[in-house]
Amino acid sequence: MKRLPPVEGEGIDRAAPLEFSFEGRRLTGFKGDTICSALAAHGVTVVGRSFKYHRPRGLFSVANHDVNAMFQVEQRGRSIPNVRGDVAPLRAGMKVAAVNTAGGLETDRMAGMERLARFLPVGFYYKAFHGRWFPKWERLIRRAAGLGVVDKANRAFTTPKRYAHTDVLVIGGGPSGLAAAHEAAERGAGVILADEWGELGGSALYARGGASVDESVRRLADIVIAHRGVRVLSSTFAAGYYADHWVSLVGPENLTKVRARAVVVAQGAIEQPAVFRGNDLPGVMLASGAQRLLSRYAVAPASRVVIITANAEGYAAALDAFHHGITVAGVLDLRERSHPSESGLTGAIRDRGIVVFHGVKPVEARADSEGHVRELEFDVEVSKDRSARHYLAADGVWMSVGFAPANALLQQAGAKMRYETAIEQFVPSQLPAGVFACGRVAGAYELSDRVAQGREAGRLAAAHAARSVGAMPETEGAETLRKLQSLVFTPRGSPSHPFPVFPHPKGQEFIDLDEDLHLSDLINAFQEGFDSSELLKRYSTVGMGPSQGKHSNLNAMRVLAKLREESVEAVGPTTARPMFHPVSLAHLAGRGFHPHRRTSLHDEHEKLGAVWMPAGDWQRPEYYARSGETRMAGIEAEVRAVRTGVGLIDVGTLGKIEAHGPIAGEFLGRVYTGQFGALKVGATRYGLALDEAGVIVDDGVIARLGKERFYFTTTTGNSGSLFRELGRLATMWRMPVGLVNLTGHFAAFNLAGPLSRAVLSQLTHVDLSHAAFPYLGVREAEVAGVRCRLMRVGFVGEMGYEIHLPAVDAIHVWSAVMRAGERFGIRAFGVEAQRVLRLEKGHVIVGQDTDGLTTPLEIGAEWALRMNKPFFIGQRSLQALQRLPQRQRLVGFTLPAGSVRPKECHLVIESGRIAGRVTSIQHSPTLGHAIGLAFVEPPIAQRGSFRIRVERGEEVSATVASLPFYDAPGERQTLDEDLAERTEMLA
Amino acid sequence: MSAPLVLMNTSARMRVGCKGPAAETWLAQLGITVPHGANRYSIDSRGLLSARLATSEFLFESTHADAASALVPAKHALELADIPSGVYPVLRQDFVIEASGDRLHELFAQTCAVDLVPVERDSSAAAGPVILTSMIGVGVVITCRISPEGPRFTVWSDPSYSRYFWHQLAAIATELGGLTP
Repeated sequence: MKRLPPVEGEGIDRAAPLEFSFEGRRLTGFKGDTICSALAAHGVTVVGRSFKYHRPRGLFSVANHDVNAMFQVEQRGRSIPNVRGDVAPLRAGMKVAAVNTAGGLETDRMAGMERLARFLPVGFYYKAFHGRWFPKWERLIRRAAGLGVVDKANRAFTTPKRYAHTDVLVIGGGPSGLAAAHEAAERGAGVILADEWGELGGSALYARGGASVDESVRRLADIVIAHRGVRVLSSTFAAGYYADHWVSLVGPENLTKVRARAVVVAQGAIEQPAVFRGNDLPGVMLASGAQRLLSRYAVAPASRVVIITANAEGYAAALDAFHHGITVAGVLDLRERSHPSESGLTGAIRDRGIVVFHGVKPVEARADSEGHVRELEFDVEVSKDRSARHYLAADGVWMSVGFAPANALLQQAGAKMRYETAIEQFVPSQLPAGVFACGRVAGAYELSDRVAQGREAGRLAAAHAARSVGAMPETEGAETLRKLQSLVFTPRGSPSHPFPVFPHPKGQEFIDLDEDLHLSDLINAFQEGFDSSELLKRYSTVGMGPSQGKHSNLNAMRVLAKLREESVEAVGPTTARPMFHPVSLAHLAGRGFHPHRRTSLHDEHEKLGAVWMPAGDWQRPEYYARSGETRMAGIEAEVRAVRTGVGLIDVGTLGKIEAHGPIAGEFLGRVYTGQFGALKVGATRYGLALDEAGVIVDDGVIARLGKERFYFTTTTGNSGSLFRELGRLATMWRMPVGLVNLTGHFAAFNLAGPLSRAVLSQLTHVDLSHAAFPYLGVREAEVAGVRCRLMRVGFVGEMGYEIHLPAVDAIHVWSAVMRAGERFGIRAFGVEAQRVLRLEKGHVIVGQDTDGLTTPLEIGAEWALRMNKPFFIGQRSLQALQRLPQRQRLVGFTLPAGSVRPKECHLVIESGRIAGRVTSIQHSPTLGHAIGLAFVEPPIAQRGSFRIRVERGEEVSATVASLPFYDAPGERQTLDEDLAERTEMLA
Repeated sequence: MSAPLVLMNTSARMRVGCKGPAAETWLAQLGITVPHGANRYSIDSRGLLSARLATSEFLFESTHADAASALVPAKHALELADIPSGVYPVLRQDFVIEASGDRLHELFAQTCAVDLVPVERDSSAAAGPVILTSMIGVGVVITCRISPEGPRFTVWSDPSYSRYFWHQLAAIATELGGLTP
């Protein structure tokens, strides 16, 4: 056991033992342990295998910053992959297993992968993954790589997302964050303080230098926790920063989206490794990680350590090790001498008899037979051109050579960075309004500086929050920064070494543990021409693993800067994107909110056996299933009912909008391609809406109900966006038009078929004769006692009436129509029958027969354009397009008898190239054969035939047919009234 | 004593809407006064809620039987389009939920991006701000009324979303220990 006697401030409850298993081995930890601390307490040194070479890996950062400590955890019947053992609390009964192994951690069958390293150079994916070898490589890599295993048997569980609001959000609960939160709260601001650890205090809790936790930090944490103005969210990290001070906070149970008036980023700095041969061996770890284990979990990760350092923090780590009874074999300082400000620490080291080497160059960490570190080989510079080789036996090598600021959120917020060579670190050079930085992320390392800077950041953030959001002038950001950075006044040495990278002739100096990248991989990538930080990242994959470069990006930048013979600042950091830490899919998914709409007739359709299909947000009946009738038979029967008798379809999903005012007609004339200012009251007209490029975006029927009153429909999917666009246009054009969106408040159904008039006439007193109520007319009248709007429409190619009415009355009128139609054999018809009917009539559906590039000129809708109008949206583009050769043309087509029927989106092929596509195709029960619409190149349309490629590369021939397929003269809309009456009598 | 979260469907109340540059004057002629500020509501002694949505759109709802009679003339005039130029009827068939109880704000925290705590703070028994926003993907109008039992929020939404909206809110409310009569 490596568990120490009780340690001051330890976070474990020794009275609460928890049993768990690791790789089948039964172990015991304590409440308060993480998975990693509990394993370390049992002397488990190898906790996982590396991603590519399957090298044994041990604890490294103990801070959720590396990929070594990820586990498959089974508990309460769930198996969760990639649990981050550094921060995941130990629970009783957990079954923990290493990820990325084949056959277990100790008996991993892939352990020999490293022997293949020379065949897997940097960028081998790109070189190998093409041609006939691609499938083989893909299978091989998929088997060899991958982290945890998703258990598909797991039941989904909801992790509700939340919104939260605050004046000031402080991210990071170290000394500077605590000071900022306290100061802001004292000034009356509401504060949320988020910290990724379970206890506030940050590095002050564990980096003690052999002493107790600084009492001032502990006291400040207590004050902040007790403060009424501060809400502390512990075990919660900020994953991403989004516009307007939205920050996503990921807690143990769920994700919270916080909107803050001001944000203080006090996320500290991430300790960085030295790069030398064998730096990934189990037992080689960051000093801060070892200190966490010692102080928070009372676990000694080694019995004899060597500490590689280049800063005061390394000396403090040596004192912590000594304090807990660990033998410090030596402190290996990469610098030629320590900074004078470190005299207190170096004196304490000397007093304890610890050997210190200066001017050290690590050569190699060597492993014992179990793969754990046993010895460090290093050189010590004796003179300018001579060094002496040394060896120190140790079961622990701790590295404290520098830090990278945790500035990802600052970058996402839009902060600019500069490289400060005095501390070998990027610091903010420009902060956006309302964003403040303090502590190590802003370059302050001494405790007093961090607290002072935190207080100032808290003061400024509270003041900003008290003003209206966004009122901070740009210049204030620069002034804020100047104030904050002026608060770093304690002289000290740089906390970071400028180039802690030590090449070895035999390689294996790991620069990225996630991706098993060696120093040579970066050099090779550079030599292959990937010489910018973004290119290097993508080609080598440095920083692209689960830890997102927290311990690799800075060293990679330094290497690249060295190769380019430029400064680190000139090389620049790669773009920081959310998420800062990996976030589980359960957190991101949250509770499923998928808004869906129902028409007011939904229950009526259910009663009629509707088979549902989605249409935008809506559910619509695809067809109505009847006992003993197949889907196709049902659809064809619905089509026949409309063609020969009468049918009723719910079209309540159409957008329904009113436009009011003296210039409403003029307004609609600018939006739609037709002329509406002169539209007669009581008449309707087809409307086609374009964008500025002349591309079709919507269509509908515009009805004039009164001199200053228009009512019009939009396509189902576009009602919301078109209504918003109309509001924007009215504002932009300064046209006082009253727009009312009735989509959800109005119902609509279409009574269609030669007998529709006979049915409707039983329910209304309005004169339905062709002379009184012609095709494309609109009337307001009572139907079944309810005031409705009736529109003579012909979308399905038969005489028909769209009945629009308040949603609350829809069931009453629908039922009345169905009853009145009973003796005429009325049948409800669904979307699929409607598609067949409209295709027979050659009517297009916007979005199906058009795409994001289709103009009216290509679908033969020139008749809907009033090009002589002064203006409509898209007019100028169409004028230009009219002068150009056409790209494609929508044509009708038929197929030879017995031909394989293509599907929508199947391609038209001409001389081996794509020359168009099928947009609609159906079997027409009326015509007895397949009919379709397709985009083809104009010469093909003229030629009159083309070929369509169907499944398995087969091609079928198609013949261009004139449109419409059905009722070309349009006689069905002006059905002779005697004929109608005879048909009605017959019915 | 703690009050459980309660959701109540109040869609059946009489409701009238109109908008337009002449709407305020026309309403005054009918004896209906409206709040002065944009996005404000008030409730008169009869229980008639008058809400100004943005600047020139109005929503009226009878929260008490006495208020219904005050709305009838306006309702009839709007239905028959018997209104002056510059007044446009707005059909209101909203799905309306009233929510009350101790964990109201937890319900809103899971469903709405707008901070409704200040809305409660700025509301009284008969007046307060009107919020036009969205909840769980549905456009809504929200008001808060302070009663002796505590705050009571009213949420108006498009009726075509009613089933989805109710089911989602009721599921969350149930998780929060609430009641959905």
